[in-house]
Amino acid sequence: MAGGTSALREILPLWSAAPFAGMLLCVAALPLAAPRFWHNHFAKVAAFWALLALIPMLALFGKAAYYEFMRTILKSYIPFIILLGSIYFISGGILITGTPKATPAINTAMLLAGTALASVMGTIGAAMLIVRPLVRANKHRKHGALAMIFFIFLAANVGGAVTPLGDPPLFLGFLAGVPFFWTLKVLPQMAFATAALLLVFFLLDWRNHKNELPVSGGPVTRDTLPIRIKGAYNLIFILGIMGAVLLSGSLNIGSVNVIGIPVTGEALLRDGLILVMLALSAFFTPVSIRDENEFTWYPLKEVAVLFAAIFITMAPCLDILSAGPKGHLGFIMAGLNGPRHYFWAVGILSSLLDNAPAYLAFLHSALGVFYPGQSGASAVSMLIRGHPAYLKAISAGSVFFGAFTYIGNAPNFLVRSISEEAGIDMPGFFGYLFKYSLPVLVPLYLIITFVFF
Amino acid sequence: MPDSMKIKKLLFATRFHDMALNRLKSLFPLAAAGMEEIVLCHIIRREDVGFVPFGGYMKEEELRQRNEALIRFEDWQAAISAAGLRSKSVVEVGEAVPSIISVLHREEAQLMVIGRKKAGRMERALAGSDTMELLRRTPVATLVCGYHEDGQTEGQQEGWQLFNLPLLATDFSNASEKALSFLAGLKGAVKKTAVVHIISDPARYEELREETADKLEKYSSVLQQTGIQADYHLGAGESPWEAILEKAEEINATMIIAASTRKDRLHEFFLGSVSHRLAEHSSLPVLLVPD
Repeated sequence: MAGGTSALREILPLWSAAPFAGMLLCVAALPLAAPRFWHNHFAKVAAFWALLALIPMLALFGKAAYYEFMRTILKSYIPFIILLGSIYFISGGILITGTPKATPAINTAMLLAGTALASVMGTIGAAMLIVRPLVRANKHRKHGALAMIFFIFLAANVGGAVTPLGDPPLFLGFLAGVPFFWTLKVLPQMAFATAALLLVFFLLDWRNHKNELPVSGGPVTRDTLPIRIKGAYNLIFILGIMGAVLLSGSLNIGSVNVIGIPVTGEALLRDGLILVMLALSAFFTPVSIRDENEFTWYPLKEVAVLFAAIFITMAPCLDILSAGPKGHLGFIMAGLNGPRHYFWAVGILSSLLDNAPAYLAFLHSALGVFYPGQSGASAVSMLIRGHPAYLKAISAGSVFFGAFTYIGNAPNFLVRSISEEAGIDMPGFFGYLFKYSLPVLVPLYLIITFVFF
Repeated sequence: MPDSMKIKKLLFATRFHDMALNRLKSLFPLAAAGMEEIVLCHIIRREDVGFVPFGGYMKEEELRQRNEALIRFEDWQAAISAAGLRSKSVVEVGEAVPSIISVLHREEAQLMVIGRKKAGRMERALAGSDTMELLRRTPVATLVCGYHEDGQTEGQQEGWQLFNLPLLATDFSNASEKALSFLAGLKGAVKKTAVVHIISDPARYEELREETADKLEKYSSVLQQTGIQADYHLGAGESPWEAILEKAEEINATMIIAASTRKDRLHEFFLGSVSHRLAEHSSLPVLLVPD
C-alpha cells in the first residue's frame, strides 16, 4: 500500500488491484446503465468493493495490511474530506443575488470570475458561488446551455489547476509531498487554456446572441436586477483554510500516535484549523443565506462515501504501481513514454472516472518508473527535482480533463443538475461529449501538449 | 396571560408515512376551535431527483413524484372537505427544512404538523434530523408525531382522540404562559386537560410543593375560565422530560403541550432542551409552542 514496504509492493498480486478496478468500473458504468439504482444504492456498492479489498488483504497480510489501510484513511482520506467539506460549506455561506444581463461580455466576465476564484475556493466552491447568477441570467436564452457548458470547462475544472485548494487531485498531491506553491508552475498551461476557452466562448455566444430569437416573446436579454453579495466575510474563512494548509507545509512539530498510526502534528493542526474555519462560518453566517443558496450536504455525502471506497481499494493498486517495472503493473509504465503520454493517460482516466484517483495512480506510476520501490514525500521531492515535467503533465492532465464528461469532476454534474432544474436545456452525457468537449477540448489539449509538454 | 391564540390555518407537512392520513383525521376536531383551512405540503427532496452524475436533473422523476403526491392529496382533500374544512395542496422540490419554513411563511399558517422519523443515536449526533431542525427554526406552534421504541406509533391509529386529554407541561416561564394561551385557544376541540410541573431538584420537593401547587392552580383556573376542565399534577425528577413522559403515561394523556424556547444547535448540544427532548423521545404527539 502506498508507502508500504518495498518487499510487499513487489509481491502484491495483481488481483489485489481488482476491487479498485471494480469500483472504478461501477463509478463509470452504473450511473449510465442504471442511474436510479446507482442513485439509491451507491453506498452499498462502494461498501462491497471496499470490503472485497479489505478482507483478503487483512487475512493475508494481517497487521501490515491494517496499518497501511489505516494510514491511508488517516493521512489521506480524512484530510481530503475535511478540506473539501469545509470549502464546500463555507462557499455555501456566500450568496450572490440579482440577475446580470446575459450579454456575451458579461457572461465571459462571469466565467472569468469563476475561473479565477476556483484556485482560491476550489472548483466546487467557485462553481456553487457563480452558478446560480449565471443560470438566472441565461435561463431565458435559447442557447443558455452554452454558458453553463463553458462554465463547467472553466470554473469547475481548468480554473482549479494552480493551487492545492483548487482541485481535489492537487490537494492529494500536496498531502503526498508536493509543495503548496509548486502547482503554480502549471499557471502558463492554465492561463493558455483559460484564454483560449474564453475566446471560443465569447465568439460562439456573440454569434448566438446576435441570431437568437427570444424564447417567450421577451427580449433576448432580460432586464436585470443589481448584483448583491451577502456573506462575503466567508472569504476570510476560505483564506484561513489556505493559511492553515500553507502553515502545515512549513512546520515540523513532530508526530502523535492516533490508533497506532503516527500522524504529524502539523497535519492535525491543519485539519483542526480548517474545522475551526468551518465552525466560524457556521456561527457567523445566517441560516437564511445557505437556504437561499439551496445548500445541501448531499453531493458531499456522495463524494465522502465513494472516496472512502476509492481510497481503500486504491491502496494496493498504488503500491503495485510504486514498485515500478518490478511490480505486476509494470506493463502500464512500459507503455508510457514522456510527459505527453502522462498528460493524456491521466487525462483520459480523469474524464471517465474521477480525477483524484487518476492523479494518484499516475503519480505513483511516475514514481515507480523513476524511483522504483520508493514512495512518500522524499520520492515526490526527487521527482520534482529530477523530472518536473512529468508532475506538471499529471497535474494539468488530471485537472483539465475533468471537464471532458459530466462525471470527470464533482462540480460538473452539480452545475448540470442546477441548470436543468432551472429549465436550461443541457445536453445529455453523449451530447456534451460529442458536441462540446471533443470538438473544443481535444484540439485545445493537443495544442497544449505540443506547446508545453 | 397573553390573549388566547387562534388557529385558522394549519400546515400539514408529510412524507406519506403509512399512518399519515389517520394523523390528519385526528386533527379535524380543531374545526371546533376555529380552524378553517388545512394546507397539505409535500417536499420532494432535491437529492431524490437531482445531482445524478449521468442523469443530471431527472425532470420525469420529479413529475412522477409530484403527480403521485397530488393524487394522494386529492383523496385527503376529499376527507378534509367532508369534515367541513377548506384545503390546499403544495408540492415543491427543495431541501426539506427551508422549503417547509418558506411554505409556512407564505401560507401564514398558525400551526404546523410534522412527523418524526426515528433516528439512531449516531444519526442524531452527527446530522440531527429534519424534525429537530424544523423545531429550532419554526416561528409557529408545531405538533410532532413521534414513534414508540418498538416502531409502533401512537396518536396515529384510526380514531385516535388527539385532543381528549392533552397534558400541558409548564415551568411557569413567559414561554409557558404562551403555551397556556395556545391551549386556551383550543377550546372547543379540547374539553379536558392536565397541567403538570416537574420539580427538577427532588430534594426540594417539600419546600417548593405548596408554592408550586398555587401556581398550578392559577394555570388550571385560567383554563377553566375558558371552559376547559383542568386538573393539575406535581412531579419531581432530575430529568424533567423523562418525568413528564412518565406522568403522561400515568394519566393516559393523548398528547403533550410544552413551550419551546429558541435555542441554537450549540446551546442544545451542550445544555439540552426539555421541549426538544420531549419531541425526540415521546411516543405521544408533542405540541411545542415557540416563545
